[in-house]
Amino acid sequence: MTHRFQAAVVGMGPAGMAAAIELARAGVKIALIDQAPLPGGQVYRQPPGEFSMPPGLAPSRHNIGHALRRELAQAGSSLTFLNGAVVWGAFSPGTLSVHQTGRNYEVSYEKLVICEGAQERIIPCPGWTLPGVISLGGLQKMITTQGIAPRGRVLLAGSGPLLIGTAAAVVGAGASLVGVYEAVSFTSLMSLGLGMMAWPRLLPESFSYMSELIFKGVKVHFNWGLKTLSGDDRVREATLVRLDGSGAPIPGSERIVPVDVVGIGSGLQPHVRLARLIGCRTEYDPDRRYFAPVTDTWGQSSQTGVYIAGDGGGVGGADWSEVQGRISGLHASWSLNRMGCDQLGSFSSRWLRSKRRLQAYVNALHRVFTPKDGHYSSITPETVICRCEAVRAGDLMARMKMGEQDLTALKPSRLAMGPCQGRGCEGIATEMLRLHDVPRENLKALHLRPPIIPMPLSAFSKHTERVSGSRS
Amino acid sequence: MNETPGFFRLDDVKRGEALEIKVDGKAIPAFAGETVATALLAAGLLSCQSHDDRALGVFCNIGQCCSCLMTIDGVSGVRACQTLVSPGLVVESRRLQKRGSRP
Ligand SMILES: Cc1cc2nc3c(=O)[nH]c(=O)nc-3n(C[C@H](O)[C@@H](O)[C@H](O)COP(=O)(O)OP(=O)(O)OC[C@H]3O[C@@H](n4cnc5c(N)ncnc54)[C@H](O)[C@@H]3O)c2cc1C
Ligand code: FES
Repeated sequence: MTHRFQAAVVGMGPAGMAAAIELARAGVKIALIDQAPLPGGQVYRQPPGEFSMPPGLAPSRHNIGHALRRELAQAGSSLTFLNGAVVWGAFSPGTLSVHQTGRNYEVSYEKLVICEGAQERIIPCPGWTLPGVISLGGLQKMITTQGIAPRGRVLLAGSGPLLIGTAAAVVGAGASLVGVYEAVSFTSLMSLGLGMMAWPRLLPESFSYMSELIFKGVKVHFNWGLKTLSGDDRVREATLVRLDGSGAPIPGSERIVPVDVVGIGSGLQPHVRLARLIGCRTEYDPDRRYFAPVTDTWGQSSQTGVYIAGDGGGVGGADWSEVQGRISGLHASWSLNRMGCDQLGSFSSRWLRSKRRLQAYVNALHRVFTPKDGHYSSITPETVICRCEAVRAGDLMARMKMGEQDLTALKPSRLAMGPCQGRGCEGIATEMLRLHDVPRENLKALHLRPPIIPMPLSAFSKHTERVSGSRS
Repeated sequence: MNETPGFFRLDDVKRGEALEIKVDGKAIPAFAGETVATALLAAGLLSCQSHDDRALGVFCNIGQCCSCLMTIDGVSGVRACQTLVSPGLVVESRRLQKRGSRP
């Protein structure tokens, strides 16, 4: 069964909410789709309705998320809210295959705004797949949306804003930290403060995280990285190492710390799945070390009528994502003849101005936190690269020595052949290829097949039902 | 209260109704609104999948990495971090997966 809409928006994070608000205000009949039960995305993810969290656990940006949700609820009656709905395929142009609580149906659209968000960038080291090792963002979400906290010796290592944000969440929950290890230097972090001047709204948040850490006596060690993690049925020990200016480990500087729970993560990269399935062109960005879709000022991709907004189009954070969502939503409304050129111009000028100002901050963020070549020294031959299929770096290195020059050629190792279809390993293997000096034009993202999200087999039966869209 | 290192439920959080789910034949406590992954972690069950001889734990917690795939109410390949608990839910976690077998 196909449900017809003029526009579909995938993702209910700040980008998707903002795009949907602008489209619904213009009177466009739209479907707003997300696998999550409630709107918010990653940054404004809400605890389940059954929960009530103490004020101390609420993330500092929560009021902004509430304001966006209110705006969404008032945006207009042309909005159908498809929550708990996974977009897993796209079999013909202009349609999406959706699976929602045991029901299977198609959504057709004239314009599509893809707001699929970011994923964490992981730089593996031996032992990173041990139980008890968890991504920084995942750990933070456990605390702030599920109300569980790590107990015992908790260590956080990696780089980027999520490292500090997660540390603040851990100590905010009353858990103790045995260490926070940031790969970049303190000086480069300070230069980010200057970048923030372009978008001062971020300053209070950063200060509140930093002061929480200082207040709780947590010391952040700069220029340190993970060398190995070890354990038996779970992680028990971390070996850390000091890093030099190029990010490379300084021999002899190792420090061994007993641990019970470890959070790791080295920033974010666009989570480009649906956009790739639909055929939107992506390019490897050597300065940011990730694949990103190619888009214009309005977020239009290489596919006609398909926009990409938010961190899924290039990482920039919550405000950046919202601004991009507004711009794409307005342009899509205009292209559906719901507003004239002059209206598009006047409604979008404010957001295009914000985008220009945010750009300075976003550039600084990448300049400071994009991993350096040396940071990948933690990958040894025995290090697992693909969690799903247990492919180790040594296997990939051997294939590269034999002359394999791109991701597709590495697939016989079973790289990216597991259920996550390379979400985790594709980026890492790309960096390995790059460090192996393969020509830049060989760094190409893999071809994806549906389902882009692992689906229970029941989803593939021919069984379809009527959609029960409810307003948010 | 169990003091083993791992994860614990924070005291001052008001949760949904208390219930039980069955994990590998054993009843474990959970609360409405929790994900299966949360209930497992709070019960001290850190590893949720075995792959050849390797255990994998919940990793991304946002539905991307597929390290938490389990058989839930008879359906295989379901993400524990994206599945909400309900009374009597039957979870088979330590399913041995062979290399190369897509669930
Ligand atoms: C784990 C994690 C934690 C983070 N925590 C913070 C934080 O605390 N503070 C902060 O400022 N930034 C945080 N970020 C950064 C984050 O990327 C924000 O910048 C912001 O949430 C991006 O907004 P967005 O709208 O682009 O995407 P998101 O907010 O990520 O929203 C994308 C949405 O799309 C949905 N989706 C994706 N694909 C599909 C599909 N195929 N079918 C159905 N639904 C789909 C997802 O469920 C998700 O809700 C975090 C990122 C990650 C990965
Ligand atoms: S922990 Fe990554 S998908 Fe569930």
